[in-house]
Formats: sequence, structure tokens, C-alpha cells
Amino acid sequence: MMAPFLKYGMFGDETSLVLAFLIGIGFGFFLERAGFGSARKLVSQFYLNDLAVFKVMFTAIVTAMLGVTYLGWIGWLDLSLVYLVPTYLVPQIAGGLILGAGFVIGGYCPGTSVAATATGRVDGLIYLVGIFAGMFAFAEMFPLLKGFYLSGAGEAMTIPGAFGLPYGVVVFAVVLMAVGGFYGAGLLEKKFATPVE
Amino acid sequence: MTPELFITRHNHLIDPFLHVWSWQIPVYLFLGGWVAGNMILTGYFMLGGRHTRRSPLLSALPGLSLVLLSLGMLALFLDLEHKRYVWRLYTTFQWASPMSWGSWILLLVYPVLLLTWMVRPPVILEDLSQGVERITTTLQGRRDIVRTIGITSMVLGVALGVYTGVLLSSLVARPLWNSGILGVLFVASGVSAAAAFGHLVTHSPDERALTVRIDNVVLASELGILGLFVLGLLAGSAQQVEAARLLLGGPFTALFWVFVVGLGIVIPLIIQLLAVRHWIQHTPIAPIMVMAGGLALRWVLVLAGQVSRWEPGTLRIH
Repeated sequence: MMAPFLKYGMFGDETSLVLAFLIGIGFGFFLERAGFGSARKLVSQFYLNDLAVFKVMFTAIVTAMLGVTYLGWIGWLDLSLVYLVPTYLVPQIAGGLILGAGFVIGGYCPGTSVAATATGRVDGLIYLVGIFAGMFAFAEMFPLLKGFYLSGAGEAMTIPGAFGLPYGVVVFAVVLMAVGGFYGAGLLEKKFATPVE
Repeated sequence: MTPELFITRHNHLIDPFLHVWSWQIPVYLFLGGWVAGNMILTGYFMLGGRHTRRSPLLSALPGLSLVLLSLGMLALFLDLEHKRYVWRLYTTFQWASPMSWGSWILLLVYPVLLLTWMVRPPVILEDLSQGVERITTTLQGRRDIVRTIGITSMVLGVALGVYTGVLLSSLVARPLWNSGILGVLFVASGVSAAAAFGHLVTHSPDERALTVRIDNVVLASELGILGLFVLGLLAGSAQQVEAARLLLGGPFTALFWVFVVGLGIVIPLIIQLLAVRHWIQHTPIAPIMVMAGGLALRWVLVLAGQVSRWEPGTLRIH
């Protein structure tokens, strides 16, 4: 048995959609349970008094990264078949800035706005309507934006590939970064904690 | 005689076309099933003596069912090729034809729904007409008559629900539908839709608690019936196994498991079980999901059934 299962033909596209549904339920459930259906909780990370989002997301990144690394080393996962998003450096930096600005202003990212809507929060629903309006506007303006959207190499760029570092070293560095980040986040939370009256 | 004449019926003289049903049939099957569920539920309420006190559901469901059934029959009528000759269905009774059974059952349902409505009509209807008030007073004074109406409503509800399933399962040329359990599945789905609707609209806490409990039991049963339906197909002929694969990896897999089983049964069942145990509040989302799941069930089965066929090698799974 070898992963990725879909690439090795263990199931077809239809079954993969059913699995995506189940994984989506799990993702949404834990997102909401972690408190990420609340805009107040989410924007607290920008005021540095509650960095739960940073900690949870970095934990998820490190867990997934270590899982993928170990499975690859054991030989259960063919890393060359794992899909990587093509890199368009400048447009993706612009996209990241726009998403970040939207996150600070609106209080949600796309995934958490869905979690918020599912729990009946009106602000999450309005945010979601905004997302769809933005996607519609982008699609309509795509002929104008296409040149910028596709500018850059368009190849999947990885940190080990770009810097010529061994894969294991990058993994270790990210783990160290996470440990340091968690320690630093704890200090920041203490410093910027809202005083209890 | 060739087997296709007396077994599969897939012959240009008997069932010449296999893909002829569009949105009208699943809509009709859903509305018919929902009305069947309403009749079973109202009959159960009457046998339980709920007609003697104010019951929002008993006052609303029969009247609503008259509208729903009429809409369903309109959808069915729109599907007919020879609309002008529909009246001929009522010039004969063919005991071997599910359509003939259905036509007569549908005709009987209307007066029974009207009678059920008269047992506990909405206050506004009683205020509007003294005749209605008189009928209601008479009916309520006769426990034996109310009991008979209740039993008739339940029996006719089961017949209507089973008929919507038999309508499909009697079409032997489509192996996916050729299962006797389809009638039971559609009755369960109809009762579930009715209970979910009751849970959604009633303002009586007592009725809400009762309908959500009924819905939970029926939803759990529906899961079991669906499992038996799929197992029955897998244990059948090669063509039925091929038909089952339409839902197990084939082109209808995602629609069936996500919209019918996941969003239509499992998730609302979990939400409602938590609500019954007072771990979370009652939410209108769960019953809406149940009702949408009931429609999705008919939609997926009608579409997938028309893709399944008996000739070896003609069923292509993508």
C-alpha cells in the first residue's frame, strides 16, 4: 500500500470527493472547537494578546510536515507524487498581503468564515458573501489581470530546492522555528495581556 | 419468447427508452413520500388522542398535505407524454400495474386528508365556517370514527409511501431500482421528512420533542434500510452488482454519500441526538437537512437508476 492513494489508483475521483467531505467535516469541527469561529479570537493574534491561532496553525504545519517526512522515509508515501502549488512569487506575495489585510479588517480568513457561518454568526455570513463577490469580480476581471496573475516562473518552488539545502535540515529548522515561535508567543501574550479589572 | 420480453422488459415494444425521467419524477416522489409521512404521523397523533386538545401539527399537516400532493401530481402531470388522456387511468383498475394502484390510491388520499383535517381544523377555518365547526364537533364526539379515520390515514399513508417505491422497483429494466426494499425505504424517508417538518414548524414544545424523537428513530432505521438496499444489490446478479457500483465508486458516489447519507441522514441525526440529550440547542438546520436529504435520495436514485441497465457490457462506470 503506497500513498498518495488517489495517484496510485486505490480509488477514483468520486470516492476522493466523499473522503474530502469527511476530511472537511473533521477540519471544520476542530477549527470551530479551537475557537476559530470567533472573529474576536482570530484578530487577537494581531494585538498579540492571544496567539492561539499562530500556535494551532504552526502545530498543524509541523505535525503534517513531520508526518509526511517520516512516511516518505519509511517508504509509504511517494513525495514526488504529492501535488505542489506552482509558485508565482510576486502575484502570490500580493495575494498574501490582500488576504492578510482582509483578515485584519474582517476578522476571518476564508476557512474560519465558513466555520463562523456554520455556527450562525452573521458577521461570518457577510464575510462569506464578500468572498464570493470578490471571487466573482476577480473572475470577471481575469482577462485584465491574467498577465500579472501568471507572471513568474510558474514552477513548484520548495525551500530545499531554492536554497540548495538537504530536506532533513529544512525540516529540523522548521521544528526549531516552531519551538522558538511558541516560546516567543508565550512571552508576547504575557506582555500584551489585557489587564483584568 | 426471449428473456428480455418477460424478465428485463428492455425491449423496443415494452420499455423502449430507459432515460426518460427528468426533475418531475423525483419531485413527485419526494412530495408523495412527504404526504405519506404526514398521513402516518397525523394518524398516529389521532390514535394517541391528540385531537382532543390544541395540536398545531394536527391542524396544519392535513391541509398542507392537500397542497403538497396537488403540487406533486402537477409535476407528475407535466411529465406525461399524453396529457389529454390522463382521465383514462380512472376508467380501469389493473391490479398488476403499480401506476394503476397509484392513481387510485392518490384519489382516495384526498377525501381521507380532508376528513383528517376536519377532526382538528385550524381555528381560522372553524371561525370562517359554521359547517366546519359542526363537522368537527360531531367528529370529536365520536371516538370510534376518529379512530377509524386515524387508522385509515396511517394505512393509506403506508400504501402511498410504498407505492412511490414500488413504482420504481417494478421497472425491471433498471437493475438499481429492482429491489423490493425500495418501498420500505421511501416510507421511512417520507416519515422522516414529515417528522422533520413537524420539528421545524411546530411551536408546541411537546410536539417538537415527540417529532424529533420519531425522526431520530426513523433516520437510524433509514440508514439500516439503505445498507440492506446496497447489500441486496451486491448479493444480486452481475447487473445489480454493476448497478450498486454506480453508488460505490461510480459516477453517483459523491452525490449519494455526501448529500443523501452524510448531509441528509448522519449529520442531522447526530445534531438531533445531541439536542434530545440537551447537550446543544434545537436548530432548524437539522430538519432542513433531513428534508433536503429526502429530495436528494429520490433525485439520485431516479438519475442513477436510469443509467443502470441489463445488457452485459453496456454499463460503463467512470
